[in-house]
Amino acid sequence: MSVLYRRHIPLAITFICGLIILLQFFFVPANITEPWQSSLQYYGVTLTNWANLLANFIIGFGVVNISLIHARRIMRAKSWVDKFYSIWLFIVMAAFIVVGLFGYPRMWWTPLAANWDWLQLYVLTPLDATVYASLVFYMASGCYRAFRARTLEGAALLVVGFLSIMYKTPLFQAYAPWVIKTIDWIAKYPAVGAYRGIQVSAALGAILLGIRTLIGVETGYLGRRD
Amino acid sequence: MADIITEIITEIGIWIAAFLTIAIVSVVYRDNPLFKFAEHTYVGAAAGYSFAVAIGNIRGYGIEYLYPTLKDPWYIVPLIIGVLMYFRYHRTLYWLFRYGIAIVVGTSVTAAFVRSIEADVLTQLRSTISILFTKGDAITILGNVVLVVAFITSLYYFIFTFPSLHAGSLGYIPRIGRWFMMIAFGYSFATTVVTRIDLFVGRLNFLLFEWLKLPA
Repeated sequence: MSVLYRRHIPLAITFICGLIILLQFFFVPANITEPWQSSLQYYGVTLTNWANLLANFIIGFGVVNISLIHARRIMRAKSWVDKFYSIWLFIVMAAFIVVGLFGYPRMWWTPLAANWDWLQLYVLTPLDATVYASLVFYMASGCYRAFRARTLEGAALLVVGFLSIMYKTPLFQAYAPWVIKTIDWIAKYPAVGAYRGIQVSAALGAILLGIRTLIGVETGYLGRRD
Repeated sequence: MADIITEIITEIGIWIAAFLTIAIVSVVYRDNPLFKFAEHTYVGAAAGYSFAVAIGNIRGYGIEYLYPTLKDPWYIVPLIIGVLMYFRYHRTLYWLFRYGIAIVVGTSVTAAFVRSIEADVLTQLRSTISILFTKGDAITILGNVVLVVAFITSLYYFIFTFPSLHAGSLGYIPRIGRWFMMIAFGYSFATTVVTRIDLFVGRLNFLLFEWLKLPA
């Protein structure tokens, strides 16, 4: 198939979609007075809904990719133990999909609503919370590496980090109230200032990246090269 | 009778949650079969959950416009394009997925950056400049000046990246910016550690008081 269909039309679609959103943002006021503003608003909102809808199709890629990887692993695994983990993953995934299709509140018919809630409450939520919580142990080793005072700037990170961890403890609250005042001051002024600088810099970078994507310079999202 | 069944189901759920919690935490010792089991359960559960939620959203944001009453026939277009996206796995027709991804990228990237102009650039600049005119005691005024200096120097560090602007007579500006950023990173790293410890304490509370039912 010609490069027109494979590459140029998708790039044109990206540009047109971006243009509609840009026009909607800059030319449609909160109080619409002109018919063309209302049309522009409709196109902008519809396009945003379409993008949200398509983003949900993209989630399916995750399921397909996991299935492909684990199907391959089942076929190639030499021991039954390795096969078992992948088979178990399929069982859990299938259980969530089946119960979700008949229990998720947004579905047409929800006879399994209670089972869906149960699965969420006793399987997904504990796993989610514990995985995040167990990162604290990795952070302990991260702390050791990050808080080594090799330079003066590293020492600043170490001192502020240590005091910020300790300032909520009863020991510091009782015997070193000045630490609490200092950390509060750091959180309110220098940290906010530095983060605002980072935020504005990142936003300017994101804006440039957006413009590069719209004009077709950035094409990584199209996948493999033809 | 119904109450007893509900209680048994709840109790089974608590035992499963406790088992999965301990299995995940067991990785602290080292990678082990128990952790692998819980890890695969987590990946399967998260994938299945996301898929079910995605189907629900496709129904809510797409199919509802077409069925049971036809509200907007144009919504057939994203549904067809969405299905075409799965040609990504086809050897020769893979390019069909680009139509859908082009709509998502074009719309979301633009929406993100136009909002970013207002929320991340203009609002931040406005509030940083206006803070200089805020009245208050000496500590507050000093703090405001420090905030503005931290803002300008850290912005300089990232925006003016030519080597000549990071060395020589101007080299002190990004150096000051780096100091402020180190202080900010120290604070936010510590806050993250404390948040994770909080989460971990939450899991311990679950094990001690909900699973083992120890008196509080």
